[in-house]
Amino acid sequence: MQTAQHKSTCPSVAGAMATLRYGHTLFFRQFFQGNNTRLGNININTSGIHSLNNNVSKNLVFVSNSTNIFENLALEDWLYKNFDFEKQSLLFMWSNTPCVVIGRHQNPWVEVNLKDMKKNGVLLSRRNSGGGTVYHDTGNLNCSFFSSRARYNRRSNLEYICQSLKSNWNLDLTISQREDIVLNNFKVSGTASKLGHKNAYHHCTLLVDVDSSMLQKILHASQIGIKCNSTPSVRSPTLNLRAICSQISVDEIIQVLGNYFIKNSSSQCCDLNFVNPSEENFPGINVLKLSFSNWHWIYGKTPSFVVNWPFGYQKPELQIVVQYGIIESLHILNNTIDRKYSEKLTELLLHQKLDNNLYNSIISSCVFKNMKDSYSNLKEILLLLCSTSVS
Amino acid sequence: MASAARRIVCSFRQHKLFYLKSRLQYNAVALPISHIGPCGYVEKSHPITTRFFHSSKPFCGEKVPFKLSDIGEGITEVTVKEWYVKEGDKVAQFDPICEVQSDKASVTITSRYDGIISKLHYATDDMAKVGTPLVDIEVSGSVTEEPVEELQEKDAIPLGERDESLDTLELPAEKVLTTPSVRKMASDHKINLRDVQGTGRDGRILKEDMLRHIESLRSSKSAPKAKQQAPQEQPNKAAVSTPQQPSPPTKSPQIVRPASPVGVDRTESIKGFKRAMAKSMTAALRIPHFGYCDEIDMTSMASLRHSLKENPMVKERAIKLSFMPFFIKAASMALNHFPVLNSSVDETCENITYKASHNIGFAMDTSLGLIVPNVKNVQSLSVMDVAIELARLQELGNKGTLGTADLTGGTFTLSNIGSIGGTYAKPVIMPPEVAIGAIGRVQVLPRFNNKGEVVRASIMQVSWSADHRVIDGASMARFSNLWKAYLENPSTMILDLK
Repeated sequence: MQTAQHKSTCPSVAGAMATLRYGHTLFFRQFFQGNNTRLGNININTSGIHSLNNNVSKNLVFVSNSTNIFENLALEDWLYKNFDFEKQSLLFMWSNTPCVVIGRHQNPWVEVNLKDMKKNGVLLSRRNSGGGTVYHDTGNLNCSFFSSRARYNRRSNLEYICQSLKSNWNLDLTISQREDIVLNNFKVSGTASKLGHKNAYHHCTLLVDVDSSMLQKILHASQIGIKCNSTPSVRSPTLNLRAICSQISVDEIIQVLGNYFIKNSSSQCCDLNFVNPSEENFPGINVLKLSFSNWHWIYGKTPSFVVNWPFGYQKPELQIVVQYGIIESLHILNNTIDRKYSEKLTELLLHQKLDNNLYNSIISSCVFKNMKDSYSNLKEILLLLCSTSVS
Repeated sequence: MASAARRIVCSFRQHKLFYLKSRLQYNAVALPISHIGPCGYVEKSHPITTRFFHSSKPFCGEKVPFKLSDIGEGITEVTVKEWYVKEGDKVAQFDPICEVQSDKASVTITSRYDGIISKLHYATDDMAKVGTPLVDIEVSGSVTEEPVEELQEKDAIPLGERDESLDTLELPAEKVLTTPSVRKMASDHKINLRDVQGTGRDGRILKEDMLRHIESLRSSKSAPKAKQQAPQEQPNKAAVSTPQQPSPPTKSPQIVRPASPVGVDRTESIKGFKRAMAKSMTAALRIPHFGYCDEIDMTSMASLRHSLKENPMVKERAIKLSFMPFFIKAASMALNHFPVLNSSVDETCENITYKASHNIGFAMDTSLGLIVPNVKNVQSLSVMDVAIELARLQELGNKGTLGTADLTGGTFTLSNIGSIGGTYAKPVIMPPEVAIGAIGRVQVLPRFNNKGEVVRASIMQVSWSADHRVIDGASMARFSNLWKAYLENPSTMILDLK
């Protein structure tokens, strides 16, 4: 591992930080004089940034000091919205404590088993880019490649990763048709991206040493009869890089990828910057953190779906329509449920958000106690729908 | 306004802070926490708009089809996942229109023009082909961007860069400074950019300049809208103040401009108090209401108030004594006998909570809209205390500085709509309360007294609404009778004084 020894103080500090808010220009000095080290035995100095020359593309690397998914998603979003990537690109690397990240237009009830997640303390979050559901833990590295819309190129980013890993650890990585990184026919990375009119980012996971059994367990949703138009996930068998090469670790990959990325810029530049996603460093990030971690984003953004009960039967008895995470309407079909129960069910469920409050009302309600036993499955499914929890 | 002499190359440093300041709000808006997603854009589900609106004059602009541009990577089809606009919405250039998804890439499509959305070609979850029209926009001629915003989109200058960079950042071919939208306009109308006078910073050609040039080329057409000064609000992206500019519209030569219509539609987004009211009303109408109305003879009350006004005790306390403190106190006294009217039910109507405090709300009409602050613990207050509290709340309400403590926690509400006018009303209960009363105007009407003579009486109507799930007509009637009795014979209030 290398120790960055040069400490240059940059006179015009703002080289890469093109567009920060007026009044926060002091941020630069504050940010760059810190000595954030994440790795115990490696000394990385956050050095100043040299001033820009015209027409030169610059490559920056940020590494997050936080392992909270919401903080990291917020930082990613902050960078997407507030940085200018006309003359530079940024590689942002981050990893999180166990969590599941679903794509922008996905349905969490279809993708994961919420009860299992709650039991195992796994957080659920929704990202801004498309694509499918992924499981993260600290053995997984996320790389977000930021650039201007014009220079957005997914494949070249993936090539970076493949080549740098190949040259260091001799891993035979290839890029599949779906733009996943594949090793020995197993998926080791998933990709997604977000394009705006000025900026774009492409991010991908990298399975280094992830708890595979937990991954399999969590990303397995039980069928509860949901019909929806949300983006489905395409499941593939996965593999940890560690299984092939035992010396590899997330921290080492950060170093390698970071340096490789920087070397590819045409300007002499800085080292890896370890950042704290705090309000001081990134003004406005707290609001983003809150918006990523609240119920309305995670569950309320789900495209509308219908739950048919009982599942699997040709003629369902009950149809629940959920829109924006709220039970919009209930349809009792075929007159199979007694009128008094159907009225009480409607009263209990209609216009309710699928959240803890509804969970508790269903548990404490006496509607199900009086209904036949065959309806206990309905109760279970309703409880599963309401096991939404936001930490 | 336009002047060629404006080509001044400014020292970048002087305007560094200016640029920083103006970059401030690019996409980084203050997000109300609960309902805005991280993308910060208008969300269909929670329609809080982050873009500003302009009051519109009818646009006689052309309907331009905005085609779905190439996403790249050889993608020919995308799925439209979410619309941020609907037909009839106004958009500004660079406002987000929709979110499309293609193969793991989620793309935000932003508008190329200012105008009004006249047609959406696809619905949510439809497959849209690249190169086909996505929306039709009726392009307006009004210019709302101002010089600095042009810079924001194009220049994005990192600090510390040299001055010459300003020039080299623009497409160097013609060395004419302007934005892509203006270039497109020029190419559409086959105008050489060098012919157009630029009035922006460093002689940049603004959209307004282009439009003026186009106008001058078509000297045969009239311009009825040139005189209109539409008051316009700033878009979020341009933080610096805009000088108001007259707006000559664009139009194609084929369209014959009709005579300007008399009235204009004005669309406003529902924000702040209005929005809160809209939300609470929607919730309120889920409650099964029943109404009960009655007439109250206010003759004695009127004379009481008249005599109290002259009373030295009242004069020295310098408080305006209207009827309202009496109404509120009488209601509280009646509530002591009918606690069910001062209760609250939960959403599923499984539990009823009999509230101990009588926090009686009263409707206040302010410039911001209808707000209902409440007077806390009326059961422990005297009429004078209530009057003092009312005055305090009214003052705060007029200033718009009522706190949440004053606005929440109400258990019963009285609405004195009669101060504006009206007799009978059908008030809407404010959840989680269960009852509300609307008090009409005091009118002088002929009535029969005990002896059968026709006398003048001050009559006031009251209309109660209550939640029929927990309150029955009889309770409401008896409560109303008691309240009526207190007011018709104010001396009975002394009997129940606590």
